[in-house]
Amino acid sequence: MTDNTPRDRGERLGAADQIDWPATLARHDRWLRTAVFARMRDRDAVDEVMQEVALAAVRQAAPIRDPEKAAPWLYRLAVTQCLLYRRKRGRQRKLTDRYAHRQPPAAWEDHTPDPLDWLLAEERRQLVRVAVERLPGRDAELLLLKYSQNWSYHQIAEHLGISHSAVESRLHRARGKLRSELAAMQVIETGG
Amino acid sequence: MNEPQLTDAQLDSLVDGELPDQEYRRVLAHLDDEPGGWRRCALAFIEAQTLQRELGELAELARPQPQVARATHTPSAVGTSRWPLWLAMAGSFLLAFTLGILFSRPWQGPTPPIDGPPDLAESESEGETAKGTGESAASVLAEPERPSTVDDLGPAFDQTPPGYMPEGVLTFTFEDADNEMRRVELPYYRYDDPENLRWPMEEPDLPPELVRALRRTGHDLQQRRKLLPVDLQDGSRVVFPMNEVEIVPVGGRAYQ
Repeated sequence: MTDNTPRDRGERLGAADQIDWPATLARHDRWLRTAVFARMRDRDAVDEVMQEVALAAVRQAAPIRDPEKAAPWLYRLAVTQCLLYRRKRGRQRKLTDRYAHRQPPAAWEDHTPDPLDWLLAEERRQLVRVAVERLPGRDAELLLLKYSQNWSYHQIAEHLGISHSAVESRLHRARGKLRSELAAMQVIETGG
Repeated sequence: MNEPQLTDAQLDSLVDGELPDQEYRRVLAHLDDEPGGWRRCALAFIEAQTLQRELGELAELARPQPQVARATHTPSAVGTSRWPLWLAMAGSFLLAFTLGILFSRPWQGPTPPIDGPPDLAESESEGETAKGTGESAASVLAEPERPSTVDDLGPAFDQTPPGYMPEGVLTFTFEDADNEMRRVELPYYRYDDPENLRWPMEEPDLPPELVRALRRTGHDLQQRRKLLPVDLQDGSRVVFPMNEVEIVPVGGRAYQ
């Protein structure tokens, strides 16, 4: 983000060659937490990972000078810390479990599901949560950032350090998977 | 009509407001030509709206948990950022007070008449009843009444489970935020009756739309049923069944 709010200016205070990390971390805390949550799906894990991110940012093995690059740098740091945390907590088992859940039903692969079914469902919130739970972490992360932060493609690209077209295609893929999951759940509901 | 159907990606970009001007016009024209095109468009908008709401709520779970936030308070931040907490506490108290009365349970037990309730006017004082319910003595007036049957006691007694008969009812008068006098009636039960102390303690149920609205705005709800004991002037003790609802701002980070 390139806004010039007082807080933003505060991040640059101190010296041109030094970033005010507490202010920077506070500013990016919310969306980073969302990204971490999408990957970890556990509130306690989010707290622990964010603590590690803060420590790593302050320690800075490879310091960055430009405040504009802080967001993607912190994002990569958060992703790394998620991986380390998961490895520490039995990564293999969780991945296997998630893979088992993630298989979309073959019947839905060849046609476009109609969202009206799940939009009309009384248990809509639960359906969305379960469907997001079944998505790969990267897809869930993108959807959560898009819809909870209400970011444009440009803003997502800037924060994650990826291109605009990559955001567009990844977001489209993630939505497609989410729709398939939702439609598949609805089939099970109505067929049961 | 020979053009291929609009893709989901195009519709998503339209809904997201990400289409370049020329493409935007082309997609709109295409929607008009395509049978069911506007239906798809409307569904895409509603879907985006729903995802925004549901995923927004889901993302709230990622925010710091309340106890963590409290641990990181700084003195300078406290004064400016605690008002939502106080507001939530005040709200929870008001809810606890009123929900016990306003929201009925599907308990409809037998309604035999109450014979000879004790003379409450002699055994209670305004100050004591006000203290027992948490209201200030200046703004609350307790008016004990002698009901003849449970039906006379009003909606509050819809909450009475079968076999639990109230000793009487107290009418509380208080000023609301608009300086208007309001009256609420609360049933009370004798503390020394062991049957009353075995009052069913299941979780009170709130209207789902209220719960949804609060959760949507980032609040967590903890609901409990309690018996609130109040000592009377004559030394006896009575209890009031209360539905307590605690509203906690989940993402209430006070250290920013």
